[in-house]
Amino acid sequence: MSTKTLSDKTINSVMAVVLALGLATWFLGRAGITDGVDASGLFYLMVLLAYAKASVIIWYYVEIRWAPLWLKAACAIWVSLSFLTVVGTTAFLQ
Amino acid sequence: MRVDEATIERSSAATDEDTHVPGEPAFWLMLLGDMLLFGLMFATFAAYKYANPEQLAVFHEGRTTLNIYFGVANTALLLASSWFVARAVREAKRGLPGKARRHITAGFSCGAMFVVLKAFEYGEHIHQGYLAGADIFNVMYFSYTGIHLVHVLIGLGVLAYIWGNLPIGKRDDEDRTRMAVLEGGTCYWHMVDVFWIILFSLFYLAV
Repeated sequence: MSTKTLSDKTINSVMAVVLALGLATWFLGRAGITDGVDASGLFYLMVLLAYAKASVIIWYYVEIRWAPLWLKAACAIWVSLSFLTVVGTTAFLQ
Repeated sequence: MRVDEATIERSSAATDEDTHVPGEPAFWLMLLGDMLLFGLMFATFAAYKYANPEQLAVFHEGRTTLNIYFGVANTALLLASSWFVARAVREAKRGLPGKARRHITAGFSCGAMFVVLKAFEYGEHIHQGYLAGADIFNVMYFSYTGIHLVHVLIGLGVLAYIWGNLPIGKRDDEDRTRMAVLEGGTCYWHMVDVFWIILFSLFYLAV
């Protein structure tokens, strides 16, 4: 039974990073809606930020950083492929 | 048995040989399948949104009909619940089931509030005349968030089970099983949060 566990500092830091990325996404979204900033570029950036938040939670809270290589690879591939599929589909169709 | 900080610090130093699958490997078969499902859903969303200019206009219009404050509140609730659940795992591994149970309760409460808010949001949306079949945006909105909501409900059941079956630090086979269930169940809950983060960005924020 593994006794590896996240420290209080790590748990709080992860949440702080996710919230900061969330705030950045919020303001980018508002910029696109209210200021008419170029929407296509913003979309890619917001999707990138969403997957960045997802990656942080997967790496730390899901404890993938201590996982064997096959599981690290599976999660990394999911994040990368999912992100690339969303933006790739968007870029191809635009 | 309480695990002291020194043991935790020594154990936390990762080495190539000292890897650990959170939960059980077989459980990850299910979770990776779920990740594949949601990944395909996200790609399908992009494919429909950008299929043609008319469809894009439908999605832009649809996004304006959503109540962003519900979305923000739900995101905050799931993030908070992930925080509580992460702390619960930490307390359980330190041999503090009482503290872990309190954190599980808090995480569960946040998840339950998510479900309540989602019900209100659906009600408001339908009351405004946007039914599931109104247009492609609403088809996707209700089906995607509905599938996610089912995952949240399952996750709440898992958290409730974990609450009553926390490891107590005895380090016997039963405790090891409980720890595996705790780790696997909380991994599932974190992934539910991850899926929502991406859904929220795609439906509520992305222009």
